[in-house]
Amino acid sequence: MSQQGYTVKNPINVLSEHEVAAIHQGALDVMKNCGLVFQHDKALDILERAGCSVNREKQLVKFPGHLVEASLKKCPSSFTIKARNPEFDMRVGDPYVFFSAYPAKDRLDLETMEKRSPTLEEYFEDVMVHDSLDQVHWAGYFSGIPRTGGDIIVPGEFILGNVKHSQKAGYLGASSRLVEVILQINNIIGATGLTSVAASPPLTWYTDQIEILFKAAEANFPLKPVSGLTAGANAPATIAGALVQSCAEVMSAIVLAQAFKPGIAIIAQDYSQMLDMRTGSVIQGGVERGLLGAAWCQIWRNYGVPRMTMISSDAKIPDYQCAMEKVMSVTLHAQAGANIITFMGGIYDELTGSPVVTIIDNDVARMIGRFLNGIEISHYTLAVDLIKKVGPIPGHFLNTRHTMESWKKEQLIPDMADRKPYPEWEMQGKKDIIARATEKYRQLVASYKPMPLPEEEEKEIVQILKSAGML
Amino acid sequence: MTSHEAFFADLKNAVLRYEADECEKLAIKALEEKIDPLKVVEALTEAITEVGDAFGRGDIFLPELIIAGEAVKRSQAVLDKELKKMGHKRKSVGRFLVGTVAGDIHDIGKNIVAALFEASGFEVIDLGIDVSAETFIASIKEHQPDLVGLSALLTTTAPQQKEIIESIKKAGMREKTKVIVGGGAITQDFADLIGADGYAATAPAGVEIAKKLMGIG
Repeated sequence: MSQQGYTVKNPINVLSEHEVAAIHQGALDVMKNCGLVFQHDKALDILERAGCSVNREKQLVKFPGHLVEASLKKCPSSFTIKARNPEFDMRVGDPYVFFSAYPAKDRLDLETMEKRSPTLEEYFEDVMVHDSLDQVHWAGYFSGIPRTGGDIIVPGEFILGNVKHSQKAGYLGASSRLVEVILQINNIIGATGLTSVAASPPLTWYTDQIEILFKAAEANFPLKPVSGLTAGANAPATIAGALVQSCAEVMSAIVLAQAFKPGIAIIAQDYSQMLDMRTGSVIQGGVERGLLGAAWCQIWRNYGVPRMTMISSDAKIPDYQCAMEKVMSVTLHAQAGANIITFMGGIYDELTGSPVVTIIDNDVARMIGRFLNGIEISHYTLAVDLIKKVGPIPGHFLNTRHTMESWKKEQLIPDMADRKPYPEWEMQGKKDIIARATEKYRQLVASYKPMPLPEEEEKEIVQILKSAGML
Repeated sequence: MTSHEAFFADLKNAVLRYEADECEKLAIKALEEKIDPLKVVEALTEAITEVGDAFGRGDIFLPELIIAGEAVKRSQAVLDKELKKMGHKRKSVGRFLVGTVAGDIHDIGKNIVAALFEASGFEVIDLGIDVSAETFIASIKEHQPDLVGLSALLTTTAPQQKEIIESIKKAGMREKTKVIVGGGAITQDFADLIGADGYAATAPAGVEIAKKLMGIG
C-alpha cells in the first residue's frame, strides 16, 4: 500500500489553449534554431544519433521539433518513487498531489530563532520529524545542513544517518560522485528516490549534471530535470519568456534521457525565480511565482508528463509574510495540478528553514488537501430530506445522526491552528503557533521509533561509504 | 570648443539614457576628432557615478545600472587602446579582480557585483565562473589588483574561498591583497572564519565595504 496523496478533480488553467501552444512553439523554436550547449561528449554522441544537429566545437545541439515531441510522448504519465518502506512509495502522476519539505542551508535555532547550521544530532532529529509527519510525502530536503568550520560534515555519517532515520523516499544528491554512492545504497534498501538534474541557464547543461542524468537513468531511477532560471537575470524578465526558456531547457534534458533510456520516468520541475531589481537577490515569495508555477503545471499537464514545483518565501522569520507568500502560491500550484509541491519548512529562500515551520506547514498541506478534496454532492450530503424533517425553529441539527456521522468528513481538525475559546487559550499560557509547533517537535523526537535497518544492509552501506572514502 | 562641449553632453546623455551602442560610437568619434581620451574617460566616470548614485537612491534598478555599466565599459575599451599608445593609464578608484570559485558555475550575482563596481569607478577584471585557486593566484600576479572578490553560491563550494585565501597567503601576497567574499552560501561568520577582509550580502554593500577597505569610503 503506497501513499495516497490528494486528488485534483478539476485543475485550473491560467493560460488559454492558444497561449500554451505559443509557449510550446517558442520553446521548439529556441531548441531548433538557437540550440543548447551540452558539455559532455557522450551526450553529444547520443543526441546526434537521435537526430539532433551537433556542432562539436561549440558543443551546441539543435533539436528538431518532431524529436522533442516524440521524446515527451515517451515519458510515462505516471510512475512510482520507491521508498525504503513500501508503505511510503508514491505513485506520481495525475490526478495526485503530494507534498515535501523545502531545502535550506541554515536552520532556525528552536530557542533563539537565530539562523545557524544544525549539529549532526539536530539534523537527524529533523529527519525523524519529517519521517513522522504525515504530509511530508517525499523526504528529499531538510532545513539546515550540518557544517563545521565552513565544511559540510563528513557525508558518510550524514548519508547513513539519513537512511536510518527515514523510511520515506529521498533525494539523490547534487554531484555525480554523491549520486553514484546513493544509487548503490538505494539498491540495497530497495528505494529509487528522485534525482535532480539542473540546467545552467541560459540554455546550457554542464558536464557533472549530465553525468548525474546518465547515472540515474542507467539505474532506471526517476529523474527531475529543472531549469532553475532567474527571470530578468539569466532568462527573460517576462513570465512567458521565462516559461519558453525553462521548457526548452527541461525538454532538452528529456530528449537526452529518453534517447539514452527510452521510457525513463520524468517529473518536470519548475524552480523559476525572479530577480529583485533593487538588490540582485532572487525573489522567492512573489505572487508571480505562483502564477508561473501554475502555468508550468498547465503546460506539462498538456504534455501528459508529471510535474513538480518549489515555493519558499522572502521572510526572515516564520511570520505572517512567510505564511502569506507560501500559501498563496502553493494553493495555486496544487489546483493547477502540481504532482509534488516542495514548500514545507522554507522561510528565506534556500538559505533559512525550520523543522518547526515544517510542522505548521503539515497543517497547511492538510488544509490544501481538504480544499482539493472539494465538496461532495450526493443525496446524503445535500440532506434535503433532513432539512425538511428538522424544519423551522425549534428544530436543530446537533441531535441528528446525520450530523454525528458527517461532520468529521466535512471539517478538517487542524493540528497546529488553535481553535480554543479565548479564556482557555489565555489560561494555557497564550501560546502562539510557533510555541505549539516547537512543543510538537519535541514530542515527535521523543516518541520517534525508527524503522530498523537490517544489520546486513547497514554493513553493506558502511562498506560502500568506506569505499567511496566518505567514512 | 563648443563642438567638444556638445560632444561631452551627448556622451553623458548616452550613458544616462542607457544607450550602449551610441556610447561606443561616441568613443570612436572622440578618437577620430582627436579629443583628449583622458577627458573622455573622466566624463564617462562622471556619468556612471551619477547612474550609480541614482541606483543607490532607488530611482533606477539593476537593468539600467548593468546597461549603463556596459556602455561605459565598451567605450573605455575603445579609449584604453589609445591611452596605452600615449603611455597613459586610466585612472580608477581601484582595481577589482572578481570570480566565482572552482566548482561553482553561478555567475549572475558575481556579474551584478562586477557591474556595480564598474559603475562605482572601479576597474574590474572578471575571471568568470569555476575559477581555480591557481588561476586566481596567476591573475593576482598579473593584474596586481587592490581588491579580490570571491563569489560562491553553493554550500559545497564555499570552502573553496578558504582555499583561495590560503593560496594567496602561501604565495606571499596576502599582505597587499584585500579579499572580500560574497554569495548565497556566505555569512559574516564564515567570512571571519576563513580570514576574509570583508563580506557583503548584496552588491551595493560590497562596494561600500570595498571603498572602506581602500580607505576611500
